[in-house]
Amino acid sequence: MLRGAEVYEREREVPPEAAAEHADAIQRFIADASARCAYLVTLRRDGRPVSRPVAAFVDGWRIHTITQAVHVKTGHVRRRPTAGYLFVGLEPYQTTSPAPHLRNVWVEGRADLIEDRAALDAFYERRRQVTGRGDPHADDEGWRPLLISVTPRYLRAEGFAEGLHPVVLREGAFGPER
Amino acid sequence: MGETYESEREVPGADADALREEIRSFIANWSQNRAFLMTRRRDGREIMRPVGSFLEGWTANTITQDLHLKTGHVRRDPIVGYLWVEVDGERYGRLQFPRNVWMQGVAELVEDPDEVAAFFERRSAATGRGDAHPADQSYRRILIRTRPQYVRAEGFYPGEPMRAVILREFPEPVPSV
Repeated sequence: MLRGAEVYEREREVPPEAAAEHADAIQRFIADASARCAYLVTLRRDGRPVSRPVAAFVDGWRIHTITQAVHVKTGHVRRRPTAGYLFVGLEPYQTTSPAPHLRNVWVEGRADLIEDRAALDAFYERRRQVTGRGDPHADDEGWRPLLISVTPRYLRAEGFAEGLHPVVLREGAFGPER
Repeated sequence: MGETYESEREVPGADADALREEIRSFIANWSQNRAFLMTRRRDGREIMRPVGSFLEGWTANTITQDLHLKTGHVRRDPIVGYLWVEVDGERYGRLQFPRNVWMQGVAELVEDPDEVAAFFERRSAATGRGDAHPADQSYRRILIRTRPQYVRAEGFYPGEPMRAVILREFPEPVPSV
């Protein structure tokens, strides 16, 4: 019989040196838009969080989402420059527990709002080089893009270490800021 | 504002109300989705992790232990959020994402052993899943009980699935913060 303390033990985070060994696999997972979906959490005016599905382009450890001034998430990030992403794998995998699991990665970080046209063009060009996808709305005349760019401070991942142990990465584990 | 914005804007209130029961059934069907719970750490920053959830009306229940970090988070700050993501369902929209529902709510910790036992009985009657370790008295079971304030669902609006269905009124009284 599984005891409460054992439940806790099997869900404890892995030690830092073991966590570092999973960092590359976690980065590849969040960068592969075909294998996961992404949800962006921002804070509303009253400080309460809201999440919505978004497209996310992951470059190194920095996470980018195109938005427009009219979207509520843009105002959220302008007021409180912090955001979180939850990445959820699309294919279930089996563990020792009966229910199927989905690989998942939570990333919390500082959110910058990039409005400069030249910086946006550079972003589209970089994304086009990596994914083949530049500015898909170039022919939408009302389209006024902005870029939310998140630099991670904290990350928690499940489905990378053995069993249910989460991998946690903290500031300093994401390499030098570019 | 452009066609992209138009394709994603919130649906009219009456249409949202018409989808209310379908959305509630979706999040209540624990074999069809995975749930993630957002709490706040000591420094005020958010964190999310997978959890089990059991719905009673619009009230979301998650069993935890006093040892778990999320228990301390909720004790310090009762503002929480749930995200439910469909497993093995149809995908919708430009991004081809599974259907998903966000619920922001206010949580309370139910620590009274009789109340927690009563919860296990109700869950057992509804799903066949009672206390997973009934003979084990070595740990304290605690129930995180969340009343919703705001629900945002995608993938439900017929014909325009990327438009958000937003619900702001619920029958359950929200505990004062």
